[in-house]
Amino acid sequence: MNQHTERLAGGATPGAGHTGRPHLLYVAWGFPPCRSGGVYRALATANRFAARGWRVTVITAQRETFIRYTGADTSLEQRIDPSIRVVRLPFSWPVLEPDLRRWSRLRIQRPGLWAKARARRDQVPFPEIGYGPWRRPLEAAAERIHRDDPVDLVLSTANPHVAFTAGYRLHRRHGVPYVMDYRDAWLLDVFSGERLHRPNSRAARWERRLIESAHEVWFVNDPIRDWHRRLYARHADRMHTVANGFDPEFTDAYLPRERPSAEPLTFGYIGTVTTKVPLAPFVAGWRTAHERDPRVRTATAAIHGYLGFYATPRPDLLKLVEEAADTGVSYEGPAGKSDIGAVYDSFDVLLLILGAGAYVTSGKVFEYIATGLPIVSVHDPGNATSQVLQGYPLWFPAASLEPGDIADALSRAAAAAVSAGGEVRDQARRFAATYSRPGQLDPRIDALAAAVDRLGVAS
Amino acid sequence: MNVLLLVTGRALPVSVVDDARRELADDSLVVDVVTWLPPVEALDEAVGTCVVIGPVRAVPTSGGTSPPVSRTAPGPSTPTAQAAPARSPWVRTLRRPFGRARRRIGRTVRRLVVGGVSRQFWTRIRRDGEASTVAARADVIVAMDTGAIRAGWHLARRHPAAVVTLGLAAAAREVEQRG
Repeated sequence: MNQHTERLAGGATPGAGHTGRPHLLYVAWGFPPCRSGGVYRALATANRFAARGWRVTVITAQRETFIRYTGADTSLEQRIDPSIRVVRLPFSWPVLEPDLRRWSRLRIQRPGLWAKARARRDQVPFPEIGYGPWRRPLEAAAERIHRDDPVDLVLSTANPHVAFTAGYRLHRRHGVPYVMDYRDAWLLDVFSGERLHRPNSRAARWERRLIESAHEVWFVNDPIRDWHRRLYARHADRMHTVANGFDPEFTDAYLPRERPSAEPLTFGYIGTVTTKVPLAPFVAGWRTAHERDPRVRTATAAIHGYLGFYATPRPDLLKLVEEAADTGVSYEGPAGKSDIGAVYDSFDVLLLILGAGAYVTSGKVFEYIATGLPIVSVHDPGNATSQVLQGYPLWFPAASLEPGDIADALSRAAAAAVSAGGEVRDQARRFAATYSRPGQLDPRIDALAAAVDRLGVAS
Repeated sequence: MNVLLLVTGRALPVSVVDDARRELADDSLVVDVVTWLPPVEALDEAVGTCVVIGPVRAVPTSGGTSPPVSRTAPGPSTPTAQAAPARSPWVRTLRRPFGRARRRIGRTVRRLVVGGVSRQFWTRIRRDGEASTVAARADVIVAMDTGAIRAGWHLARRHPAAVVTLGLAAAAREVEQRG
């Protein structure tokens, strides 16, 4: 167990006392050793506040939760700033319980009935299946932490949205300001753009109440922020975009190589290829470019990552790649986190092949721009990622998913890979600097520090 | 260590047994299998005992695959191979809705009387001496799919010392925790 970890159930150790540094209570259900996607944002946020001089207390679920249910990466715990105090709360997740001894007779005899009853029970304290019961222990823990060491600001990251209740509780009872950080959205389906909950549902009423009292609300991209600005027009000014960005450690690991001009180009893709990813249009476009452009004819396209969601590649996706092997397309398997710098180093042009979604920003786009390499976008022009790439000097978007348009983009990128000088590449990296995690977080941390200073809640 | 895999879903490939050894990080593991359908390939060398408990019980051997035969009275999921007698199209059209209703009623009655695969799987394990024997000697019992959960739950109550989980990954964690 991490040496900074404390279990609140047995009584929290009092805080270090008010030392003139503001005290942030950060609520993140998924925090190391959790291995889910959102954990990197949570870790980076807590660490950045600590690095900027805040005293940070994190409330999260107990380690056992991640080991049993989500998968755990204990190496992530080493990356927690040593000054951060981590308070772990018990969390049970009966739906995912794999130990059959813990299953009730009702669950065995009437699984459908049990699931319905469980879902209803979960939503009594808070309208969120699976996580609702966490509200009471979470609020109690927040109260206790505030009593022991007054909190200046609460920042909660969702989902789960139950995390927002800690800030709301301290705000109502003690006037502590709170910030809501949405990694996704609650009422909006970011893939379809449809509303997920009716305007009068409990979830909608809770969100309205939370946003009305929030000091700031953060979103991961402009389209999601704008959707909420339209929904809560009166509170639009407190809504900000804090994009995921790339970890500064990434740029340390990636060292761009000097490429001899006569060497064949390597186009590369890193990420999971799902059925939503337009792999077939890309292959058709690649084939067209292969016929038309001598630079692409000698080039190769390497796909790194998973084909489908599992370790075994999906046969239909693998077949698509194998059928294009004669044109230099190959599947290279998953790239480990430790090898990622070397994999990027082997590329001359990056392929950004994404599914449609006006509200979806791919996380890998931030790593892509950090390399300063030419990027070919093979996705619907309406994808939210296009907004991130606007202004990147080596961006070559396909006008559509037609083979001719994709081939044009590939040819322009191939030409740029050969001709772009150091100045353009430096310009590209300077553009990327605003999308580093510190570049995204620091403006908000400064604003919050000023607000806390002005409000002087805990002092 | 003895591991018992309970399988009701797809016919079992030998790779599942290899997965068990890999997840539990023990190459010398004795793996027994109780399965509803006969395995798709010979498991002679891969497993200790393979008990096929469903209505179609032929087990392929490394010497060659024998055609599946039913040793017991046909269960509810036994595919019927009899060809329907020829009828004129309009008679078929008239009878179709009634036939569909009859089938639906039949399915419901069967489900109420003998239960779905999960209940039948457990009932047959309870009555089968060989299946009960391999369950009794197992240190770890793994339900490999949802149809096998009920049998796993009942076996957990009968054999309190065994680790009983849904899925191999959970079994590996429980075994590691117990040391």
